[in-house]
Amino acid sequence: MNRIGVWLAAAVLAVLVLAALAPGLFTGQDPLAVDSGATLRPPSAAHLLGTDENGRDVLARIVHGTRASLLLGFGAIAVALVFGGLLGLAAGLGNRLVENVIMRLSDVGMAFPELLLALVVITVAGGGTANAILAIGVANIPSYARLVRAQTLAIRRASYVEAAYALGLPGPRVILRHVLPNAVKPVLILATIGVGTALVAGSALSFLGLGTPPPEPEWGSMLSTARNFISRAWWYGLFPGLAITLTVISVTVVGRALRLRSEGRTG
Amino acid sequence: MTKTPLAALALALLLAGCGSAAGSSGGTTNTPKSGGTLILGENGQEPPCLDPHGNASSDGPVTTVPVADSLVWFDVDGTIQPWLADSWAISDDGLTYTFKLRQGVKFHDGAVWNAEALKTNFEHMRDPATKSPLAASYIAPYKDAKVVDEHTLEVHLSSPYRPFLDVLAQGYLGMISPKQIKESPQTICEHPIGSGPFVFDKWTKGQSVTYRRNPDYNWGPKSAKHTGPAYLERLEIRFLAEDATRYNALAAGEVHAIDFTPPQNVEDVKANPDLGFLTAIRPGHPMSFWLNTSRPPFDDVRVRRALLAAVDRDSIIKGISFGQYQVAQGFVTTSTPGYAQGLSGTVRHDEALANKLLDEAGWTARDKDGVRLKDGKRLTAYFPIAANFPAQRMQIAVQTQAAARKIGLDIQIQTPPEQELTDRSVKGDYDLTSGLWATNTADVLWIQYSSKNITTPERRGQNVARLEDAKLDDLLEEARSAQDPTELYNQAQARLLELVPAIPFYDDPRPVAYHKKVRDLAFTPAYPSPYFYDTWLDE
Amino acid sequence: MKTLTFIGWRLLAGVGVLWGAATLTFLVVHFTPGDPAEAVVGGEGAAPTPEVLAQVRAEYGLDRPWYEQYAAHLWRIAHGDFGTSYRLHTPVTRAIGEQAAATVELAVAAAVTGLILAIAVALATAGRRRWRGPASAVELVAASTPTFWLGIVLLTVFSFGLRLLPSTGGQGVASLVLPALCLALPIAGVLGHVLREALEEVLDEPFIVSARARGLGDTAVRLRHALRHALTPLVTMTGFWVGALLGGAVVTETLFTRQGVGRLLVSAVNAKDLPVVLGVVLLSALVYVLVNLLVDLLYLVIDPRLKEAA
Repeated sequence: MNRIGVWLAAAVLAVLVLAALAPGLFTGQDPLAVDSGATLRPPSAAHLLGTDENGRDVLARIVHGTRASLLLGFGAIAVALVFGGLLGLAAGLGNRLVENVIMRLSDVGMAFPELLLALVVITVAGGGTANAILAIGVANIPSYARLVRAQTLAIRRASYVEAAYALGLPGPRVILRHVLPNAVKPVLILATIGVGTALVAGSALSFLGLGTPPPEPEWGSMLSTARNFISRAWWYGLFPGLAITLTVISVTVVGRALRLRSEGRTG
Repeated sequence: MTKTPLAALALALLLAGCGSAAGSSGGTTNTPKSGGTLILGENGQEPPCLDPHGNASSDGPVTTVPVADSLVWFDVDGTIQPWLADSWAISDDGLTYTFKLRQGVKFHDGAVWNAEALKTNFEHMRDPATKSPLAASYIAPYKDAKVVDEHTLEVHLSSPYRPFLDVLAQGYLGMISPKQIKESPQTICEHPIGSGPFVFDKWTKGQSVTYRRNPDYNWGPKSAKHTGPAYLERLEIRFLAEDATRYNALAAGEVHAIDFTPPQNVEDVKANPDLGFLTAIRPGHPMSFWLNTSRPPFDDVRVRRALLAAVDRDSIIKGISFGQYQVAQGFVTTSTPGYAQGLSGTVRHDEALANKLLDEAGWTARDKDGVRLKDGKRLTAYFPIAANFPAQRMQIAVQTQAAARKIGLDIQIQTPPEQELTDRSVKGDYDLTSGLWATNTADVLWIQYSSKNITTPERRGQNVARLEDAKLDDLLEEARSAQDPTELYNQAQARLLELVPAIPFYDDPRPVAYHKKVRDLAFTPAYPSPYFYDTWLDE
Repeated sequence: MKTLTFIGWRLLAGVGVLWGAATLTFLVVHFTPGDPAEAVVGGEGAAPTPEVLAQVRAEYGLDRPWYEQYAAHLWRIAHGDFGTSYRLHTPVTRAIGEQAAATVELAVAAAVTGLILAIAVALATAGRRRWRGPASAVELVAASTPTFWLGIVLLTVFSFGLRLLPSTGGQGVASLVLPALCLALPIAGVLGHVLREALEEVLDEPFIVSARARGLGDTAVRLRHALRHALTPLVTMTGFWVGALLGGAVVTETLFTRQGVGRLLVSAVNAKDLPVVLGVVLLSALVYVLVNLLVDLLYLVIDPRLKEAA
């Protein structure tokens, strides 16, 4: 991977995180300020990326939408990591029965495509940001459970863990000190890449009208509305899409670089 | 006859003014030609069932009227004219309707139209097994019927119901073959058999409905331009849910005409010499945000009036419709028979008045966000909406929210899970809710505001404002049995402007755009939707 | 014999997964609170009478104990009966059946397009320094672009702008081009990336070196020897691209107003039509199980070493 590319991607990611934490740094405009007299205006000095169907500033909405959009990606993966991680750890450390039950359940879970399983969760629990995060997160649990289990099994058989047991260290301490940290690191790196796909899936839900509800800004729901006005407002359909794509690219590039580095070191 | 001269005239002018364009402009000849296939691009409200009695979709009539004729025709001037009924008589007490039926009418399966057929249709609408979401409640006063002779049916109502004939003209109450109703009612949804100018051909769900001409047809409504079979050999209604795509399909010539022309494209249509434009305001209740009058803060009429005054409806509606929609002047649309002309212009945007009203109501203090307080309570109103809330309505909601915020009223838009939404709507746990109701009679006011129509666990009603006003109840009840309800409806509308149970926003139009080679495209005025009996292709 | 046992085990596992999926859907229906009447005859513009509501509750009502319902549920699913749609009032299997052909058409077109693109780009660029960078960048952009935005861009440029292709479904092959491309490009991005890395690994293997030493040309080496081995990871990723196709179909069909199971699913979610939602999800699990079974068999063909392992 090109080093400049990686640093560029990391910089974009840093900017995005900053925008999510302190959107005021990037725009002085209120993303919710409605102006019914200035709807769908093209980019100008007053509105750098134009206005939307309610006369709101598109740039402000993209900047303020960073939080909701990143939250969909990172939140969903966090849910998957925590629950998938616990299940995977239990499967890797537990007895055959526990392992079998968890693995067969994850087989069932893997049989449902991510977006479809998320739609089931939404049908039952309803839309909204929190439920969209939950939905995408739940859909990702099985694959993380498998990943963590595989790691755990490998580490359990590693010589240093066997040595720790042989030294008579208590089980929980071995797990906490040795198994967990070593199992988590590679999984975390893979999860970085997962954030990208989760972000796309989350904004797809918003695009279908099932994710972040208006008037809160979110990139997917912006595009959902924008598609009605394609013939009159190209800027409205262009920039939120660019924001999603750029974010996913950056996350993926950084994730891949991290993975290469860790493999280079351990392998 | 429910007829109000002023409104009828307005409706007539409106429809005639737009309709004439379809007949005379462009093209090479004015002599109708037979043959060809017309393709209409429809919006995404594809009915789940094509039994006229089995759906409540806004695309119900456009898809079922080609197949199923109605008992009577509601004309552009608001009068009721013969169609499958030649004539009718109403008893003095308003409880008995005697219909003399047209002779020689045959359904597509060969079944004969007679008194028994009409009775079978009434029973089918009412049969719970039909799961009728709309038709059953439109004929709720229907008690029973007696076959007097082959072509005479005597219908008995349980209470006087003047709007009976008006609603019978709507496509939702079209006539289905009695043979199909009796022998295979389960097939009606998928393959309706009627007596109409077109025979149902095929329904490709999620895509289109196709029809072919009925060669035996000779019983069109009196106001039609011709007699005999339809001109079009085939008809296809294609569901194109995406606004941008639907308009593009018209512009690219993939379809001949589109329904629900997106407002952002109307200017382009009008500027294009190859395209024609036809529109009609749907009679009934305008698109509104209803205010829950049964609990704080909107149980106080001053708060309701304050919100109405705070919202700049002209500017909002102009913006969301690109200048295409007409701002609502009251609680029925201007095209509804019984619309009170004299009241237009009563509602005004006046922020100072809004603030004054809230001060008077005791909401005098303000918190740090500028939201008004009374006894330490914030002035908050909850607006729960469904996940698939229409985008345009969302714009109105967001702009209303902004206007309310300016006078210190905090409207919170919520998207609860569907189940919670249903529970809350049944329990009345909301402060705002939105919608419109299209029907060709001012009886829509009874449907929306009679205290009888407040939802209870047993009965679902449309009085979502949960308004209970004895004076209004009396007026609306009386209007249902009055010989001439004009004055009663005038008073009811004036009363509603005092009560403000809703923020009425716009009179919902049905804008159709078409290539000029499509000639004589018209609407069924009872429930404005494209009607193809007289339509022909000049190619 | 070993092969047969292997297939037998895989079949059994597949049935197990389906049983789990059916149980899961049962739990969902069972624990979703509320009255289906609203979903059947309610909604905006509807005014059901009390009699109609009562009829609906009786027809769809759940008044038996859970274990009886569960047994009945499994029994019905085993017989291919997925219940009756709340909204369409027709059997779920029929509702899906009417839409399935359009989705299969789209998914197959997209899968073939995606595979051809991925293989072509990977074969042409693997191990060639000058091409590697640009190809990798294009793949990254393709894989990172959300389907729904790609669709908007494709529609704006090729349909609304240049008027080259129709924007709506149901009009023959021409109306399949844009949606298939929209669905294929992100998948091709991912597959292309994986395939090139695999190819590069294979190209360094001793047997390739010896093939070259025998005087075989570069193209012949890539096509005849390397590709077959490099395909294994693509097959391993079957789960990913089947999921991507099905999930992508939901968005693509909506955007291009095409007929199909994806749009049926979206309208069912919006209308709270639980039987249809679960029917579609169960069906996708069935597809997944069948495809994976096929993949396991394919492995035996591609990589004979696995035969002994099995």
